[in-house]
Amino acid sequence: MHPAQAIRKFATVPLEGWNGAAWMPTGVKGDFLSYDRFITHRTFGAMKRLFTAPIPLPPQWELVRTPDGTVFLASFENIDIEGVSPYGYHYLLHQVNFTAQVIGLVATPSASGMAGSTTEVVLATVRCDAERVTAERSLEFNTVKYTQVLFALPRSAPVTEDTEIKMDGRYYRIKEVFLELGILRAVGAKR
Amino acid sequence: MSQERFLVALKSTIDKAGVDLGKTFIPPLPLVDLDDTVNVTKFLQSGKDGLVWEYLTLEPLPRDPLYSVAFRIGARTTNDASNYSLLGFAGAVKRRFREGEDLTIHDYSSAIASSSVLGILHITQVMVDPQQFDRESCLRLVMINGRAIRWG
Repeated sequence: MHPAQAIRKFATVPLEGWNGAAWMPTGVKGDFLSYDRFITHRTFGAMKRLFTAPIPLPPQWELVRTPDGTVFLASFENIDIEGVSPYGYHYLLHQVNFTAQVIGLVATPSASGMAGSTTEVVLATVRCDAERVTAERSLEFNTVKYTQVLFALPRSAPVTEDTEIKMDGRYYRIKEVFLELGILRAVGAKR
Repeated sequence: MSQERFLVALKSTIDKAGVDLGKTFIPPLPLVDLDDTVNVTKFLQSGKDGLVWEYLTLEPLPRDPLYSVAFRIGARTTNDASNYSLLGFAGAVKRRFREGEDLTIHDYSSAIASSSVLGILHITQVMVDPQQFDRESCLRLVMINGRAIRWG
């Protein structure tokens, strides 16, 4: 039996995609691998799942949803190829349980030419995952530590080092933004 | 003007002098307050040149309305072989803040500047500090000491 037949046989889970306003059918059905939860890399198997499909997930679907309502970021695609023909598509999906606001600060200029008082502006509301990675000790006061949180966000999220993320009423000042596989990562310091 | 507002007015006066100095360069250089945690990280991580400064002290000496003032102002450059640009900017800072010069102090901290003179800053000493380094960039600051008098 060709492996493509097995992939097609077990492709029973339909994915919906978020188009920015509503959940839409992606036309892709696949299967979550049961062994992925035994890959012991931090949150692997819990927050990160492997999804196999016989046809590719179009790249515009950054956020996908399974029928039980769980939302994932499509993190990376791996393709099985025989000769020159792809026959299987494997996706690393990153579960995003939280909704957060991306906050920008708009400064009112002062007569000196420097930025004056700042006002918060909500730039976007995004789905994200957040996990505490470490605490950073204050440069000035040894007893003070700042919680560092690593966010996983859609690539389209307008997150930069000039913004903050507001989640569950708490603010995180963004210190670093980088790409990890196909998703945006941001390191925030809780304030 | 209260003693508390005088602190702000003096800072905003140095801000204004630095911003105006930055506009004289081609291309214009931004002025960044090294104690401004909102903007300084972004600036230092960028590849941009700019003027930088930090407000050190304002102490009554011997008592209000006479003050001792200290601040450092200079420049930060990247891709600056031999540091010639950096020292050129430091030289421009020294020309702007000369020993023996008087600066009138206004409050520029709000959207509209106060027209009244709130004090005088008299510069008594200008010294070029040792160079500082951060990865691809260098900072050279000029230490400026002075005496100020608060009016009103």
